[in-house]
Amino acid sequence: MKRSHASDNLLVAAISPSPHGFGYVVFEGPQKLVDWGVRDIRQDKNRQSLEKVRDLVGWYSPDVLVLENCTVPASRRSARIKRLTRAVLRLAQRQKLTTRSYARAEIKAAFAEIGAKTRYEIAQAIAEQVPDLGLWLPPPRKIWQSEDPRMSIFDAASLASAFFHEGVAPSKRAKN
Amino acid sequence: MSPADAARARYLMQRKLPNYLRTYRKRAGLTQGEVAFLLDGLSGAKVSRDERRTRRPNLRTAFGYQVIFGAAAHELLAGLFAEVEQNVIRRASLLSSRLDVAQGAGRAHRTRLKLKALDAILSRRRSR
Repeated sequence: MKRSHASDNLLVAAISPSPHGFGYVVFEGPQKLVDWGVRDIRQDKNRQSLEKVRDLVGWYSPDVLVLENCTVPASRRSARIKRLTRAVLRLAQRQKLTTRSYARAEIKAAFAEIGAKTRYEIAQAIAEQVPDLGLWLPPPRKIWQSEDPRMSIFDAASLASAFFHEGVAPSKRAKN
Repeated sequence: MSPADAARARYLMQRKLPNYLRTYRKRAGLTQGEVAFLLDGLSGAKVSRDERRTRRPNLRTAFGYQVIFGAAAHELLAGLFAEVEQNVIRRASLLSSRLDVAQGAGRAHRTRLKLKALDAILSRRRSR
C-alpha cells in the first residue's frame, strides 16, 4: 500500500467493536505502532465498551479517531455495534476529536492493491507490514469455529491503514 | 522565540507520547508482573503506574527498563526527558545571559569555558 507523508506525525487511534468487546490500535505515524489490544467485555457491553474507549482516548488524546462506517446500506454490523459506534462518535465529538470512518468496501479497495481480498488476507498483510502484530495473528478460522477475538485488532489496524492510505489531513469531520 | 520555547514547539511537533514503556513491554510480550520480577523489588502495580505516568520511576528503575527493553531511557521516558531538557535549556539560556552581563567584554578564561559549555547544551538540542 502506498503511504502518504501528510500524516507522518499524527497519533491515530482506531477502534473496531466486536461481539466480544473491541479491538484497538494506536499508531504514531503510519509506521510506528504504539499500542494495541483487545478489551474483553462480558456484560452491559455498550456501556462498558464506551467507558474503556473513554479511558483509551483520555490517555492517548489521539489526533484522529478512526471507526468503521456502519451507516452504509451494505454494513452487516449488528444493531448493538451500530449503536456503540454512534456513541463513540458522539463521545469523540464531545471531546473535540477529529474522526474518520471507512466502510468495509473502502478498506477492501485499499488492500486490493496488494492482493489482499478476504478479511484474513488483510490481517496477514497487516501482520507483514507491522511485525509487532505478527504474534497476534490467529490461525485461519475453520467454518465451524467462531471468530477469534484477536481479529478485532486487525480490523482496527485495517481502519488505521485505510486512513494512512487515504492520506488526507484530518481537517474534516467524518459525516456518519 | 526563546530556545526553551523552540524546544517545546519541536516537542509538540514531534508529538511524542509521555512514555513508551507499554509499547516496548507489549513488543517484548512481557506482562507487567514479569517486568516487575525482572526489576526485583517492584510490583506489577508499580509498573502499571509507571506506564500510566501516575508514578515517576527512579533512576534505578529507569536503567532497569533500559536494560530490559534495550532502548535508551530518554526514548522510553520521552515525556519526562523532554520536560527535563526543556527546563535545562531554559536555565542554560538564563545562566548564559547572566554570565554575559556579569563579565562584559573582558571575560576570564573560566567564564569563556562556561559559556562554551552552555552554548553546546543549546546547540545540541538544536541539532537533534
